[in-house]
Amino acid sequence: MNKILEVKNLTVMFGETYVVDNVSFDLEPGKVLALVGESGSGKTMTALAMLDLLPRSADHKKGEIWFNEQNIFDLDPECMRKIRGNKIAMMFQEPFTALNPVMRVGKQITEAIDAHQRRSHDEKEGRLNELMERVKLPRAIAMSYPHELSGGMRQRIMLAMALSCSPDILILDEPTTALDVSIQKHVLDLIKQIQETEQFAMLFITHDFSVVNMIADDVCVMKEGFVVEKGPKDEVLKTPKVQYTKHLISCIPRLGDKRGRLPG
Amino acid sequence: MNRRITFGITIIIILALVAIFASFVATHDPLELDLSLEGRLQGPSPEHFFGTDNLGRDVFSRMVYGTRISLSVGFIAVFISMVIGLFLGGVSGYFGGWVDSLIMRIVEVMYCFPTFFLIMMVITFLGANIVNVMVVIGLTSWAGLCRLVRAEFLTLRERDFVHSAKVQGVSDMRIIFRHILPNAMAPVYVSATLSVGGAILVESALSFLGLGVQVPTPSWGNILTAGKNYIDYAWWLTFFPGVAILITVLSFNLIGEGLREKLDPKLSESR
Repeated sequence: MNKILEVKNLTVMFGETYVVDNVSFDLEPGKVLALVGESGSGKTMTALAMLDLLPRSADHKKGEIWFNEQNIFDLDPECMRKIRGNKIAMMFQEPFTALNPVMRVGKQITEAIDAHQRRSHDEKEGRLNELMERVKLPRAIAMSYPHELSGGMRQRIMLAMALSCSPDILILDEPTTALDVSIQKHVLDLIKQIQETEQFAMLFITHDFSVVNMIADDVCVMKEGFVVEKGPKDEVLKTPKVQYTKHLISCIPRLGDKRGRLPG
Repeated sequence: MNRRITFGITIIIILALVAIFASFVATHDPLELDLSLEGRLQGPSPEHFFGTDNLGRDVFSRMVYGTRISLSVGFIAVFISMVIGLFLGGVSGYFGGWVDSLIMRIVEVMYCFPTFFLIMMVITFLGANIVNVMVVIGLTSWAGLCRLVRAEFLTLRERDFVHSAKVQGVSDMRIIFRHILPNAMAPVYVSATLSVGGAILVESALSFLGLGVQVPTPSWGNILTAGKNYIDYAWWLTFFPGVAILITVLSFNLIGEGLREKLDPKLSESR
């Protein structure tokens, strides 16, 4: 099994509180790993640790994250900056706050290219055209400011931003949570389709098992900082071993069904 | 457009045109003396709009050329203080930690000096000329702006789009100047506009004290100085430059206030 990224015994603490506790998983090229759990289960902290961007208040971190035969925690800040956005890209949850309100979106898409590659103006324009086409937005949209766009459009812009340097790994932090269900489906289909053509490894963070079902190859369920269950999607979805996973799965809304609740 | 801003900008544009085209607007050579008894201290007349001074020079023409001094001192001094204030404030607010502590201590030290006396002292050492005046005013007036920018950065640096830029691998300096700074500019514009008026006042005061622009080069401040000896029978020597300073500073303040109202949603809601 070839791994592109390996998280080994990752532990993150805020003071005395464990937010991520001894978490291990691997990412494989071309595969989608879904990291599932309720709010506060340490999903986002795990993702931020992979980019070495934990908040200042996270005072202890242990474990190793191996990428390209390097431990990310041993890299100096400049090397790490060169990986971010270039090799490992991330897309955020909130389309309404994650874009700079005073910069044209096209410019924001090419920011990562400016940060990592020396490219002429024409090459950047070419890449921008390609990316806009990839996320199925008209080229003219690149000249707008974020407030002129809808949530779904902004989400696509953010996807284009994350894809701009053709990363090896894409982390998506609840990419569709802020969107309504029909737009969600469009964006997910788009993400899935791009992932299949570009064959990068993807870490998909969500709390929603219906989304997991659509997009993931493997699943890793987290609760209170622990990994409670991991395995191939079909296995986890059809024969969950842990009570917590069963509860999460029972939360998927079905027509005509009374909605299950997650016990406190 | 806000009426105050319109008024202020109109006046400033007129003054700027007067400064640029001073040689066309002036009716006389500002340095041309007329030491004859009739030529000196003439009151306002169609020949000399604002009268003549104790050396028979045309006050209107001297004031027209003085506009250049006042406006350029105002703009250049504020430009210098903005460059310093934005840079130090941005770095301080963005990085925090010891960098922030160090810069904030420097700001506090700057606040402790009575600025005007500091400026007077430095000018006395370096020599009184217009370049020194601009630079020294700029170097001593950035502290307030620095604090303002720092405060903006403290809130903006936690915003998602800043994290998003970091995740993209954008460098710190680029995040500071391309991502955060443009979002922090609204209060900076207000503060800078108000400071232009302040800088013009400081220049006038320095020139009045003989530490600013040196005679015979005309500036509003030194025309006032020359006029103060004759204030009881040649009112025009102090009146016109005084009014010019007043109108100019007022215009900048009106623009600043208007901008504040326009750019700060909390203020405009309450009206």
